[in-house]
Amino acid sequence: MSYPKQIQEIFEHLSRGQFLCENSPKRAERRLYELCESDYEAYVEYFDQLGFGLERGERYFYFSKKMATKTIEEKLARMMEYIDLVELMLQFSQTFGVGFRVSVAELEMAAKSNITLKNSIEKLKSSSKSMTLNQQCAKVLESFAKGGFMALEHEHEQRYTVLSSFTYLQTFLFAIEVPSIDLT
Amino acid sequence: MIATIARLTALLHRHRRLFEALFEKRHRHVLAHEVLEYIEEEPLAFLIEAELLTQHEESIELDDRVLTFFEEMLQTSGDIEIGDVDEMIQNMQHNIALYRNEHESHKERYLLKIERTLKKIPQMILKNLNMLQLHIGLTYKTQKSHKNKIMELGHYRQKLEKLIAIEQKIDHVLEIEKPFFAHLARHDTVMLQLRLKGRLRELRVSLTALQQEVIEYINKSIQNLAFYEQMIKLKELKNALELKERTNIVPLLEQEKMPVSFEKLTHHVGLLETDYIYEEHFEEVVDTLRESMHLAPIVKPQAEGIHPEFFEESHDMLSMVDVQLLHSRFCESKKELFDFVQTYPFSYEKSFQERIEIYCQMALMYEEFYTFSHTFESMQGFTYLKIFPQVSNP
Repeated sequence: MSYPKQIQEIFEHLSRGQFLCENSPKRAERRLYELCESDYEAYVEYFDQLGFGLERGERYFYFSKKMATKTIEEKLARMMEYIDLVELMLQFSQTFGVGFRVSVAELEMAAKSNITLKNSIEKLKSSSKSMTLNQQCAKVLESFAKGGFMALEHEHEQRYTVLSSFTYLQTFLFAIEVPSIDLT
Repeated sequence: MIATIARLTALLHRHRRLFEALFEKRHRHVLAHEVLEYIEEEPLAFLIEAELLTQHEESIELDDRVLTFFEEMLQTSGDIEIGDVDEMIQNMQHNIALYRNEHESHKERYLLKIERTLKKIPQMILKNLNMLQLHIGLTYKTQKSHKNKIMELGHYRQKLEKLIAIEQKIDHVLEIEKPFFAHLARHDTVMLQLRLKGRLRELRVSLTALQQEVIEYINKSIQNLAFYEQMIKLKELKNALELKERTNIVPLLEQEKMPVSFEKLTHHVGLLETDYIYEEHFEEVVDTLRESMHLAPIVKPQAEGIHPEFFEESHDMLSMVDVQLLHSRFCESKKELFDFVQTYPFSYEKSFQERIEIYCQMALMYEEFYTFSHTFESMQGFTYLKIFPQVSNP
């Protein structure tokens, strides 16, 4: 089988820990997503030889490593950070999910009028006391973007969009079996 | 009470700014002093008396009939009135029955009523469909509370189902009344009935699509609500430092094929970095890649083998004659040059020929230090000149 020349771009994008999403604001990334979608099995075989598993989710692709180097404790710590971040965004809006759009300014405005939200932002690992609220809010959205779950849609407005890869996080967090807790 | 249309329209026209303002503010309470900007107290009292406006304590509003009239005419009502459509069908059936029983000369009156209903039904269904579509979309996108969203969407779903049922009922009624329309002489009514049937077919497609959409929205909202509740629970457990102990998160993490972003990030590039080749494991990497990629064996260009003789030991001997030393010895000996060279004990054996060459070399090099006689001698067929060192030379 002959592979398209973009296979190098696909590899470079996915090996950076990013996802390829159907709703990416970047046209080039949507094109790479379509390529993976068009001949998934062949790409799986190709990347397998390089030590990466090409995983397919609901309207997204990502790389998993055959030989995971991180310990469970480190992965757990990373997942805990996402629990904080996702819960915080749900405090901001219950409609937070794939396709949701948010800017740093909007999050900051909401935090100014909602002390619980502000408190949650300040308590985050990524926040420090020397940072302004705006900088702390920017860090929240950047953290999602770094994990490949959000993408910067409008640089000037600092507006992000939630990518379809967020379904991965959602599915994982949903799969955690929680004992019944009295929330009242 | 206003008795004539002329009087009614005149009043509406005269106080149009007031009616316009009250219509725009129909969704909130408008206090009496606010309307005094548009009308004086006396005419205001008259409009209330004439039942064009109503007053509840301090607030003034449009009479319900006036409000409905404006909304109907301007098509601004956001209400979904499915019951009205149902009533219209019943009225139409009633008018058909009356038409059948009525005397020929009075039949037209009922026919006009039937025609009006036939015209109005698709408009009403379309209006309700548009309204439902708008409300469903808005609720799904803007309602912040998941619980209310699910409740509201469920409410619109019920309305939609009623509308679908009514559409089916109309279709059924038209089928029942087929003989009535078949025997009608009036072309316009028959056309209206046929147009209604066609319109209903179009509406049915949109109604079914909207029904699917609302079900999808409800399912998504239920899922979102469940996710929201799950996140609150997870956060509670995390804050209580019980997440690891009381949930299955660790086995899940062990099983899960995690994205590379959860790993330590290493930068991979498709093109080989030249610095990489100097690293320790580069050769192993190349070997692994070669094995896994099943490439054709690489043919390396090779030079021909070197002959073993090249490495064997060999000596090249070169004997040099120290002519200067020979010259000194000759000067000391006081002998004749040819005789001296022939008898000189060289370290290596010299042939007669070689000795003649040395004789010639010395005679040429040290000409100024030697005395050339005029006597010639012969030896082995060679004739030579007899040469002596100069007496004054040391």
